[in-house]
Amino acid sequence: MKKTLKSVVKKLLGTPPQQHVTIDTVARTLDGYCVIGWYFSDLVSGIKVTDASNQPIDVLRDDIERADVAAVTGKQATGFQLLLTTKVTLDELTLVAALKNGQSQTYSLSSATVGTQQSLAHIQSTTNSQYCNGACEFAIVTDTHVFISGWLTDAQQATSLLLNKKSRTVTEDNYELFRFTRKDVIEAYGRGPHTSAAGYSVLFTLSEKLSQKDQQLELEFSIDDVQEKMSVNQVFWGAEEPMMNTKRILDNWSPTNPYHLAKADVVSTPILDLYTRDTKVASTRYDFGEQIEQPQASIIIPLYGRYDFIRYQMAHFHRSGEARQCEIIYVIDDPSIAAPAMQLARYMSRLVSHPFSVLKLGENVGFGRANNIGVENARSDNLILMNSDILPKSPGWLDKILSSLDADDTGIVGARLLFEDGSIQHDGMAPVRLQEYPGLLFNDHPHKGWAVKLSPKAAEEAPCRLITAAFWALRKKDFQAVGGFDHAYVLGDFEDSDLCLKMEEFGKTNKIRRDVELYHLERQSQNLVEAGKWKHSLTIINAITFNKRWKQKLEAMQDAG
Amino acid sequence: MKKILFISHGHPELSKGGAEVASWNLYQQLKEQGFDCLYVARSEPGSHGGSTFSVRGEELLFHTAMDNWFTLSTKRLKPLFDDLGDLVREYAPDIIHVHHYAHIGFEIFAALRQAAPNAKIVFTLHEFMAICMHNGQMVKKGSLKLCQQALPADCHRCFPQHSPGDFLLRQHYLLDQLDNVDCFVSPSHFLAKRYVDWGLPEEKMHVIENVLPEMTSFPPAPIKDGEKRARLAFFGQINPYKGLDVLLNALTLLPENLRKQVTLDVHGANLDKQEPSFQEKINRQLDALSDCVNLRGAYESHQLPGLLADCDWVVIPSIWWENSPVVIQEAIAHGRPLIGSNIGGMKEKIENIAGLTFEARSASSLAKTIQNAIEPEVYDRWQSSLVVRSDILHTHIALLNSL
Repeated sequence: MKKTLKSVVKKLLGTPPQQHVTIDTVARTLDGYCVIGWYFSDLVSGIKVTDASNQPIDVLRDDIERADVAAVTGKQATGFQLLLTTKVTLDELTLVAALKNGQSQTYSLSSATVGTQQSLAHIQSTTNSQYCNGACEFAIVTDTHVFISGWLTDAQQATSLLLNKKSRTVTEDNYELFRFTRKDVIEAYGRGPHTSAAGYSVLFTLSEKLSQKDQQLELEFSIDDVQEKMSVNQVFWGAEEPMMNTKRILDNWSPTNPYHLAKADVVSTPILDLYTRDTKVASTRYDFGEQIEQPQASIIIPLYGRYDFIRYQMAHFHRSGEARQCEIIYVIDDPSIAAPAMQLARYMSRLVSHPFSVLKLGENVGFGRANNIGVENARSDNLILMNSDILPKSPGWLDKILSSLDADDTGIVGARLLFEDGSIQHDGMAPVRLQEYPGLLFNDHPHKGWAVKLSPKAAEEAPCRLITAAFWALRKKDFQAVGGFDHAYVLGDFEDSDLCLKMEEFGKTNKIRRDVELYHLERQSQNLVEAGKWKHSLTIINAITFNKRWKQKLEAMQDAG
Repeated sequence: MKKILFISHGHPELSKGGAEVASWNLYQQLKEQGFDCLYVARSEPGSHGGSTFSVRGEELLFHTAMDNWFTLSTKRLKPLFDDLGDLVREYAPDIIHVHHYAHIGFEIFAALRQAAPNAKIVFTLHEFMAICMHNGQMVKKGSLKLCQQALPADCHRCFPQHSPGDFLLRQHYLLDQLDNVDCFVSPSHFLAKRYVDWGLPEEKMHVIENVLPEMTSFPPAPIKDGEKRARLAFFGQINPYKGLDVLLNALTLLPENLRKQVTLDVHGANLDKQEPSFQEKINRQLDALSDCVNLRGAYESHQLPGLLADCDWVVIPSIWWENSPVVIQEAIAHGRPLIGSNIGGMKEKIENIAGLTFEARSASSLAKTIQNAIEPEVYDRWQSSLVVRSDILHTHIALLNSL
């Protein structure tokens, strides 16, 4: 009741309540979390973190000067860094700010990292049915499908679902449904058969594309031969915010549940709709320094989330001079960092004489497509695909890698990659089963975290079937012959192993140079696509796609050890 | 005679840090030797008409700032690459003697290299800031444990907002910039070794002490028969790293009859700027020692000779490594032996040379050392063996001529 009232007030006032505390980041530590943020010094008297039972958590606090905030807001701000020692999960933790006016504000730490504040579940029925309560919370419309999510206390009796626009049926029968438990519905309507699987996700296949004017959608269903209707509360146009809509679609899907896993198509189909659309992506190329006439190789480096790597890599390339005859192309695959990344690129062009280029993409297209576009722009037939968090460890890497690429039978050449402490990050990949996901094979990094001297693999060139795309050398014509990275893998998982296997089918041998060592400061850039439940679910969906395609090969590889 | 451009991160008349004073002394003495020198000292942005430079006496003030204390970077490239660049091209120095990058930005080395491709860039290391983000203390935050080296995983524990990988990138970036330097000067072997272990090439490293202005050595004050050499003095900031609490604790551990004879003058300031818990600790200790400790406050450099003349021993109980504290050189030049912690720069400059050392951070070890030191024959032995090095300036000149 209180929540509804609050939201009414919110609507009337038209603005959200003033946030006095801003949480910048929440990161995992060895024994808990690190929370960094700031608050207005004149409004907040103190902060603490509590668990689900409102008990305060052990906190080690450091104050951080936030002149930056003061400069922007014109108000005095207190920065903080909290080290929490706790075993509980993030969604049980709340930051409580005591305000100087005697009141307090709470901030959920889990929403601070995920960024999608779930619309606070206020359960409100919108059906006129005499038999049950229910609602259509949202619909996500793609070119070919409509995904609808909501709840119904129908004891799973509803059948014959229809999708209407302005009371005209647009699709019937052609749907797939899956049902699941909703705790909030049980809380509101009590436990019983009627609420045992009140949640539903339904995917309708469209026979014709919906127009953006069709904002009023309606779900029709029948119970005991009585037709009932609910209108959809919110309609999202999928292509407008693909990542946010992916999160929405995956919100109620739990891959560790075998029933959910079996119903993966309901969620994977609309997500693939969002990411495999063949839209033309605008790109602009900026060249810095005098470009190489005939580059020895083109080094493609996608940037997402973090752009400061340009500073470290270009400083390195300039000093070492080793890649002086290479074309370096940074691909900015993140419009939100485009401006500061371009600024840093211009800055580095003053600092270093090493030429490089920046390809600015008009939208976020994901790791695979960003590389594909980078490759289209490459002028050399020798490609080096490199993550932004790669830094060569010692000189000589380029010549060795390119000499391996010289052999006719070579497909992809990889290298031994190291963490910052010198331990192995990648020494070639292998398929592995995980107990939680029977029937699926994942990519394993054998000997990850081991000291190099403990690796059973010799520091030399060797055939290697699966190699991480964090660092690859290959020929442009081979890359394009197998079609580049496949769009079917959403937001970067398995597209590299997929391409490795395609290269094999193409008749080439993939190789690893274990005598070439580069640092790969893994999960520096990727981490910025927040690690969260939805991202994990997406990995599973990509795994399903990958396994469907390569099941036999992968199982044979695993059997061979 | 070679033409030398000095770059300092502050003018000693405006900011009296060790590096500023050391660069100033060398500049003055090289000028006296007939070198053509120009001294450029960084100052706050916002000079007349927004100009990058202004004049103070014969020196130039360079108005710029640093913006990123992680990579020690400036985003202001115009003052560095254009304005300082023009100045360097015009002045055309043979040698550029850089004494700090703080408040200027680590990119200064690339800017100087671009502006003067053939000049020799000499960089004097004055502290560990490039190695350790914790203000170069090489002491862990919180626990205050000593660090032998900067391992990215350890640095991350001090600064959880930066990943271990970030610290590796930071180190590589700074080393990449320092590749522009032709010759490094370190005032202590200890500091030099830390930087070589961190990644600087050993063949470019030269250990030469900072030059000092001429100073008078005072004979020991006369004492009566049976009197001890028990007037101790502490010089420096009062903060947790300088170890005043260890020294005060040591005094309370002295046997009653000795404690009555010992006095300690504390010449230092900024206790009021420390954490409340540290202030309380020091104040509690001072209360318990009100019979023998005098808090004398800050001093000006011209007062230092008089303050040294008034004491027998100078005590440096720092719990961090120190580099080459100028007060050690000054004490020696004025004829006063020292008692110091047995780590880092203190051990190097004091042990078996200018006095006694004790187990760093141990009040009981310091108490025992004081007990020994105040015996007149021990004092006389160390006081009479103090040697003021007269070859430092010439070593500097020889290095510059060799470049």
